[in-house]
Amino acid sequence: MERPRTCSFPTPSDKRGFVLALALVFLAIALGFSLAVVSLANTHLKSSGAFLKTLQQMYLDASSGSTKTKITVMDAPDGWDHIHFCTELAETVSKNVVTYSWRAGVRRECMPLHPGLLTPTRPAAVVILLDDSVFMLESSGADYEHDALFHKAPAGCITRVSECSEVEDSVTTALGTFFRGSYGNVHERAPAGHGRTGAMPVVALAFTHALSLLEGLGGCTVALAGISGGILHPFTADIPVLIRTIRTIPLSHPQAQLAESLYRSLGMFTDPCTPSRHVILVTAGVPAHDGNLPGWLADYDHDSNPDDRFLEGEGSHCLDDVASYARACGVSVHVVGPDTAFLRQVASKGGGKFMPLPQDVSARGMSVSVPPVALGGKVLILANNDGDLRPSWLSSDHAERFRESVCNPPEEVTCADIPLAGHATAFSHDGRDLFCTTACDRIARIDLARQSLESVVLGIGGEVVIRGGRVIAGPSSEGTVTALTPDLRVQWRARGDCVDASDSTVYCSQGSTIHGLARETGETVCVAHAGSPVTSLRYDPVAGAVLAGTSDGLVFVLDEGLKMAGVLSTGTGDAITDTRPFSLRGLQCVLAATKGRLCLFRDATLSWSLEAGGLVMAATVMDAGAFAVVWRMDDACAGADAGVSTLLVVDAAAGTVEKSVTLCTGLALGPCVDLSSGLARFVSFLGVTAQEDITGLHGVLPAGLGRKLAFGIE
Amino acid sequence: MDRGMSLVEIMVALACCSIVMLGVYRLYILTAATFRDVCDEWRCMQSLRLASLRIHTDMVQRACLMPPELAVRADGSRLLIAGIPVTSHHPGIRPHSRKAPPYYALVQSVTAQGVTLDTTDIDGDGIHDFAAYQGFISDSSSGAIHGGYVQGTPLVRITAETPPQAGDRAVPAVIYSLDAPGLCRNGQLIAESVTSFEPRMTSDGLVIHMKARSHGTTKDMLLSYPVR
Repeated sequence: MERPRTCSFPTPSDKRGFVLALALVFLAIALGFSLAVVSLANTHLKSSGAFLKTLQQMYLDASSGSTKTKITVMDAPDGWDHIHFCTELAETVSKNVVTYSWRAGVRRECMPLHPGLLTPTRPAAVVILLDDSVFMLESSGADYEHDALFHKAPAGCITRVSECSEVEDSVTTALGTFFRGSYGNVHERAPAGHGRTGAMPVVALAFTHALSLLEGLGGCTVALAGISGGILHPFTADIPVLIRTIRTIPLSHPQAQLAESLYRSLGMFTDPCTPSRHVILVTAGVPAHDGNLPGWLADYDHDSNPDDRFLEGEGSHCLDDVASYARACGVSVHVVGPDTAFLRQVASKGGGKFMPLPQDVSARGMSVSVPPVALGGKVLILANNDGDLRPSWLSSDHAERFRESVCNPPEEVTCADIPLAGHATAFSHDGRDLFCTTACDRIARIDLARQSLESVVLGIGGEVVIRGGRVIAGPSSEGTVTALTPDLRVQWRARGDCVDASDSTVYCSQGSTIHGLARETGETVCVAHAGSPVTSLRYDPVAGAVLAGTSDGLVFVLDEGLKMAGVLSTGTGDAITDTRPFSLRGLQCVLAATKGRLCLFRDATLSWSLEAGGLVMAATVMDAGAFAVVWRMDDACAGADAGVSTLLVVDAAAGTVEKSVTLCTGLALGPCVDLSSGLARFVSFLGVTAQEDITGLHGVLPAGLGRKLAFGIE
Repeated sequence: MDRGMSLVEIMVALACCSIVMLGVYRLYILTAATFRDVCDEWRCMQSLRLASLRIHTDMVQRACLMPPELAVRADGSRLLIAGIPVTSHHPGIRPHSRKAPPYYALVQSVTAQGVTLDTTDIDGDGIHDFAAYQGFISDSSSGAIHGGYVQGTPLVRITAETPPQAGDRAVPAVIYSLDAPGLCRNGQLIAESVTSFEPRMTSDGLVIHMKARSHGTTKDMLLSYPVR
């Protein structure tokens, strides 16, 4: 009999698979561990994936996807000329990466320091012999042009101002009386004389032509002489000064010793460097008390004229004999005056022209007087032709031409007969328009895209600065500084010898005094005194300082309010011709140029001084190197087309010459820093171009400034 | 139901269970070891990854708007990368409206008390750029800014092997250093398992050899950055 088994701990199940269930529980636990490990491994993998993705995001290709680049123009980079250069910071945003890079940009062009030397070798020497007798006030045989404007100087000299007149009849100002031709035909009639009638006096005819001729003689050396008073002005290339002198000549001399004065004028040609010599006789053609000449000269042309002798009254005929003699001496005699057979004969025998044009006196051909313009890959040369700014690429001439109103200055009036006379002296451009001044006090606005002349304004010359939407030009030959709008409307004028401008203030020096003028109104806001004549004035836009170089070799450092901040001394006593501020590792430095020397001040201390070995024509600082164009000319008779120009590169920190490169024959103008092609461009006086590779300078090519990630703010 | 189990059944069951338990235990040991190894490896790798990511982020942004010559310094077990991390307290170095980069301060004088700078706001944005525990790189020296430095004070106390010289350019930097708890960035622990940190400058650039260790598991990483 089966005895039932009893157990105090009965199994929960009587099924036989229970043990297996237990095993399965253990297996499940083991599986759990395994799954945990797998899960951890999976997490590991995911972590790796995330790491990879993060890395990939960090290495985003900037070229993929949309990028946006913003260019910010900043102050000059470290080691670069504060006046000449600026910094272009490029900020490229691509997804979450901002990339920065910089390169130097041109802020202002580098103009030649001695524009007065821009004359060719052996330029023509011209003596303008002015008849200042009362016969000049007699009728010329013609009337005044009906609608033209004439100016009668206090001394009596009448000249035509322009073919248009804003004056209805006449107006008197401090400069004299201005009258309309129609008014002059009634109220300013010249007395009839010598068979000539007509309201306009000879002086208006002859002096107007002489002034027009004189404007075209840029590059020549010209002297003025009067038939009564000898030399009125010695030889000079400063044409505007001569023009002013002519306008002040009194016409009151009762005698007209034409032949005698012409003979005396031949003695004025003492300079052996001028083989091309001319006398321009501006006369009424009425000799009086004339002919007191050596016997051999009185009838030099052997025409047996009975009047080839001294005559107490009018009628001596020796003028053509002296003209013949002058021709034999190699001096051409041209005549400006009433159209008479006698005067034409004088011109003919003198080997000159009657009523000559500038090209009859001096055919000067092509020349260049300012550096090239580099713009968007193009290089433009502002060439002069026969002494006038006439670049070949200037495709059209539809320019509006203005001059200052004689009634309501500085209001302007439009007049078509204002030629773009004189060679280029300085320019500046804003990328759209180029503003160029000429030696005959014109400022021209040239549309760079269309390469067309847009405006010409008379009476404005000197350096050109574009600041805060204003064009500041000056000084003109009359010592005037003018502020204009970009369309060349005159805002205000002031007197000044040197000029520069900040965004709010125009700084002008006059003698040893420096004025700060409000840019908008021209009102004086601050004044400083340098103690000696200021020869160079620069505004440092980075430091906000005004640098005034003086004739005794000092550089005054002033703040924007013209308060003295320091004085730098070159120790040479030579006049400062230019100052170029820059920073070197945060230290303020100034490169000062004198006629033949470069001096560097570092932290207000003279660091080095270097003899340039020639005339310093331009100086700037790039990548901690002082770049100077030095013109060496050994021949005393040589002009801007002779000699050799060298580019001198000096280590700004050490003062050691790093490089000296011959640029061209003659005077080189530049550098025009063409950053798009990495070249410093130069052009010689005769138009020969030269260039220097500057791509090795840090900042010419875009230089990286690192990246910034837009994510990951901690 | 009340019959219970016989001894044989229990013995067989125990034997079976023992076998199964042994198997499971072996499996557990194996799994646990694997789990620990994977955990350690993961910890090492995470430390190295985190460190490398941080370094990489800083290297990518090195010397942003600052002189490239002052970008990186490897100073023993310290790595200094020029720059200021963008945080909620500092926007990093930003372009000024006029002042051209690169931005830096100038060392005006060096005394036992520290280095006097011409400015502590190198980008001119009104925010001081040198701070305590950050790095400091100059032309002739590099080091860490002392923890007691008061931000905005021109006199900056630094710990450096060689002192900077007057006239040096100086920039703030991110400093990586291996301290007792692990790899620190600007004095803050970022990777606790990193036990070796050897940055060095070579002709090709920066090479960083890092090792991380966790319970006997060691992982190393070699990072290389071309630096001019």
